[in-house]
Amino acid sequence: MVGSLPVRDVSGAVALALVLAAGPVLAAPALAEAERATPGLLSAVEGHPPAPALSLGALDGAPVALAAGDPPTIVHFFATWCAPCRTELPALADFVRLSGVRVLLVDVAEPADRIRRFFAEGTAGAAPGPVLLDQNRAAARGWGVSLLPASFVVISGRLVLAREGEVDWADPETRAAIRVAAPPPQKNQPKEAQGEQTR
Amino acid sequence: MTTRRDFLKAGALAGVSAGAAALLHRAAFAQAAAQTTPAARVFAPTVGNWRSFQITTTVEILKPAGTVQAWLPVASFSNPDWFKPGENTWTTNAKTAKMVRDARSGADMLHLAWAEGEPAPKVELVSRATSRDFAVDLTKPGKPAPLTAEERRRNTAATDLIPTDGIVKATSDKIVAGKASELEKVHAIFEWIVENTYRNAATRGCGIGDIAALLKSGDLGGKCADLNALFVGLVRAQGIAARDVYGLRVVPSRFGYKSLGANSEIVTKAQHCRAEVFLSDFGWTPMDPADVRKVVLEEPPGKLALDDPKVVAARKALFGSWEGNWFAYNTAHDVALPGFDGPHLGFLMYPQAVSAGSLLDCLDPDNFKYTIRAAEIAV
Repeated sequence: MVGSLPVRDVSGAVALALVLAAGPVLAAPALAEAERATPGLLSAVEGHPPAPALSLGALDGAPVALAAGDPPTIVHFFATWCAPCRTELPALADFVRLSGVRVLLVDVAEPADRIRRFFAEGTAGAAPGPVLLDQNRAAARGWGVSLLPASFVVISGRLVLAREGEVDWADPETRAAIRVAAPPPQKNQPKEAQGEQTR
Repeated sequence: MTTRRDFLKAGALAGVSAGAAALLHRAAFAQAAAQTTPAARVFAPTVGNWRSFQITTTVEILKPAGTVQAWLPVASFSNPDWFKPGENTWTTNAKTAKMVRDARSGADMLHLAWAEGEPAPKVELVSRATSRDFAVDLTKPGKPAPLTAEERRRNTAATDLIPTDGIVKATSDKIVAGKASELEKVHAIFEWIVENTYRNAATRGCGIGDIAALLKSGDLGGKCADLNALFVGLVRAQGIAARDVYGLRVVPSRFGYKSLGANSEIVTKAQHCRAEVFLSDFGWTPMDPADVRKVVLEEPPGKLALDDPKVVAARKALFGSWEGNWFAYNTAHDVALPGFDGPHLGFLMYPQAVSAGSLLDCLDPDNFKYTIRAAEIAV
């Protein structure tokens, strides 16, 4: 369920074509220690190709497989050592909480103990979804991930939006891009409209 | 409890036995560290005397579950110019313990498997080696024996985390543009690493070493397994043989560089990888641009400028020489752990163990748990 994301015309904002598994490019100028790349927007994936297979064991849970009939899903590749991943995860968690969009986190090539401790310590907040274990990097390769973090939005089994690098999940255009790509079901009450929930 | 001694490599330390060798008194360690004040000597290693070292790795699996196994790296690397592995001895309550080699990567390790239900799996491994300071005079070309075809193939090959095409090849070509000789190309890449990367203190362990991702991110921060792997990949992309050498710092720098030595007998977190490049006119040549960046960040008072005399000296010396205050394990990549149907490791520099079917966090020695002690030994 996507929820009631702010409605804006984002046709121009998502017109970029993302080249997955890009060929050789020259390195960008190296960033100085304090000059990290800023978060950016998801880009449209040209042609909406079928999403690569994703079927992995999960941290402390049953194995998870992505199916064509699944609801819109963010597939997010990360690692605990990756600095931008650590800053992005809390923002992604906020996005998921507010939007109701399903997220599958895919940790790349780390021992389960390390991931468990990472989330237990809370430096990046709680995991906003199941954590899948891509221990031999096969999933990362299959999805053409050459840089962490990497995020993909999969709708009806197809890659619709993607970004390698940190996504600005708080930017209204990010919400709008997903909203445009995956309108919410008519009858479902979006979480944002339900107000603060207490139990 | 069983005790075993591995004599397979004892030839390098002929005549040395646990009984004959004597640990230098702890005070000697402190004395060695204090022998040179920071300003006492310019960092300029030359070919030195052989020294013998012993490292003791103690592993205790704190929360064993299911079948527990462990793999401890031992020295499979040797270079008669500066490093000779010695014997390995161990004491353990494991059901089986044997020296094994991952045939594809060439990594040697002590493999242990405990009986299911063993409440306190434990092993103590003592490994010895001799090492010395080494330097290659890059102004005097010689005629070293060329690499065999297999050695050249192995040391120019791409690995899982060190591709030699794509962004790595493109970056390497850009760096060496206009350079004609092998030496000029390698020097240009060394200088590029020093100028364009930085040591990131927040990087866990020695880093991951995913060099294509490093380049693509544009954020060239990391530690030795990142920066020297990047150096090796950029060199290999030119078809020049190069290798990461994964190991452990064991004693202080005799040049007074706090950042370039082990400053305690506890070396649990003192892992360090270096690099060697095979130059046709000089043979395997020591190089360590990552340690230049370590001097920049860590040498007191810290965050030194590239034109600081300490950095200038290290930058000059670490292209062609280094100190022998370090214990080499292997040059292996994509290491399979025998007896474990799990993922390959990018490299084998830390103790590894499996409990409850999954790898323990080798970068978390306190919870793993393991400790490593180092000592110089008199023989």
